[in-house]
Amino acid sequence: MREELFNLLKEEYPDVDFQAENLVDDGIMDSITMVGVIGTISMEYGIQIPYEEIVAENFNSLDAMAALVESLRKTK
Amino acid sequence: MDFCTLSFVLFLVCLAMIYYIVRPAKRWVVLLAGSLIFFAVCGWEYLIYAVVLSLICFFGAIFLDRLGARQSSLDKTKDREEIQKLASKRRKILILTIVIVVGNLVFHKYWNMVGELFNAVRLYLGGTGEAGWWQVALPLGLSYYTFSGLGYLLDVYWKRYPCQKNYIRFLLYIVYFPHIIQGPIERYSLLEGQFFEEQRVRFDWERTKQAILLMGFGYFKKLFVADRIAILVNGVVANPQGTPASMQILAVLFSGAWIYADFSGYMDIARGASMIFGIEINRNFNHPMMARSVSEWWRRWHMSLSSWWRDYIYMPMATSLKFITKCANVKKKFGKSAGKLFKDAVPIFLIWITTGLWHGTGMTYFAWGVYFSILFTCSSVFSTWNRKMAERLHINPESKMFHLFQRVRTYLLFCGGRFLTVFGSLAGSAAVVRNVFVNFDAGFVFQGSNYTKYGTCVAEVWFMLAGIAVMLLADFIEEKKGVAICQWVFERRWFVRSVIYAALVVAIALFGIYGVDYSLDGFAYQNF
Repeated sequence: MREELFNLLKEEYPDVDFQAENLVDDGIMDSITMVGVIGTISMEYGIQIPYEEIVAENFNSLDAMAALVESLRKTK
Repeated sequence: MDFCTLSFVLFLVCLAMIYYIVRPAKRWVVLLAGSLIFFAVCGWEYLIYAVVLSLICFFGAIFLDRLGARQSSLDKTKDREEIQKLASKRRKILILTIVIVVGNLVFHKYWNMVGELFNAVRLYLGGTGEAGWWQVALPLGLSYYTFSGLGYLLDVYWKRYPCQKNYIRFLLYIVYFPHIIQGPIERYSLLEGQFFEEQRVRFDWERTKQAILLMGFGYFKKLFVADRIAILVNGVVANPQGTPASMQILAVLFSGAWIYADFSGYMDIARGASMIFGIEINRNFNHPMMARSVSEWWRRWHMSLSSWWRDYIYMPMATSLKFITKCANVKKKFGKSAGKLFKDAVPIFLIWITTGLWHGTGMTYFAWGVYFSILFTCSSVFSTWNRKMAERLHINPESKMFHLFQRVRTYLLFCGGRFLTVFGSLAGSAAVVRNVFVNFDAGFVFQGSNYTKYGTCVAEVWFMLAGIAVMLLADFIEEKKGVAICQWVFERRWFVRSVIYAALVVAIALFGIYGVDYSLDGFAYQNF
């Protein structure tokens, strides 16, 4: 899942280092990119990320994003 | 009560004395009383607006909280229908409250413009004289407490924290005097703990010294830098006849520094005043002059507004199911690139145009919004292209010279936005563009005698430049050393400290722009 997510996001945002930790907290991913990432993930996996889940800790790393996608796919 | 008056300083001293006499648990009551007095002195009718709005937000949040608690107590599998009913009820209450609160803001901001339009149409159809449209004044700080109240409501709706059950305590959040005139737009969760935390509100001499110095820097920015530049900029704008384009462009470049000095000066005074009471408020500016791109500039400028817009408008809209479905449709129909452009550009345009319309009515601010939308979209779309271009030109993007180039470019792009608004109308800005080709006259700005026409002189221009240099130096120190400028000053030797204190006092008291010949115009953002 992690690898799949990395390839998907890297293709859309080649300038962002998605391997880094603290993507949001360290400002590596700004709000415009974050919104784009949410859109890309939602479209690719056919899920809706509830607004309550859009918090820094769910987008700080690929692992966190992968975990979020997995949990939302289960409850879909 | 203007922050730059002796009466405000006296008010602050008296309030601080009473605050620290009263026992810690009840100090928030002194703050509330002081804030209400501050509001009433500015205009008691403004206070009514704030109280009514706070009541609407308070009760709206109470209902949302109660329904939310009932929703959470139900079984997700068994009581699905009931949960949906409650969710729909919550949504209705939220929408109704938002319509009332935002409607009030829109009414106050646009009613007079509707009147002007009405008059124009009437005259066009052959009417004569004035129609006698009822004019409304914008209540003090309306935008700021409207946004604060809305943010609180939405946070309670999203169950980020429980609502405040005590109205009097909530009222303090809305009317707290340091942030009421022009922000920052504080989050309730950030202030609540501070108002009522006994440890925090104890007197601390070190903190008070820091607060006074911070206010000193604020007064320096406002009275020495901003109000001095304002004379030149207003003079140039008021005298377009015979003024060459070189002088008009210089005024635009100065106006960027003017708005920064004015707004961040206010923030320093507000933060300092709040710090005296042990309450930390948002700094709102994080050295925007050090930004290397337009998006970075706006992350560092008026941070409380941009983060408010991001969290309560941009993110909910751009991540909503409806919008994402639309993006998917565009992607399916027109291809991947079109889908990405749609996903990135549409929310940016909507956000910037609404931000522009919040700043002011009319076409100038609409154009301002479109201008920054285009810049943001370009920087997002062309980021890869820019990187490749730099590689091809053998530019080291990490070199100091390239960073300097990026900083200057960012400031000039910001001033591009100022150019659209500072002349009061798009026709005024267009006249300047025309003037560039008809009457540029680069030598005009280097002749000292020419400045008298605009109410200033060469010596004053040198003062402006010196003031800007001091502001930049302070920003540079904070950015590089990672310490607040006040802390940096306190860490110097006594001799250096004394020189800084003396220079600050002399700059404000002897060279500040105030006195009988000048009228205080207040702060640039206070009528929003």
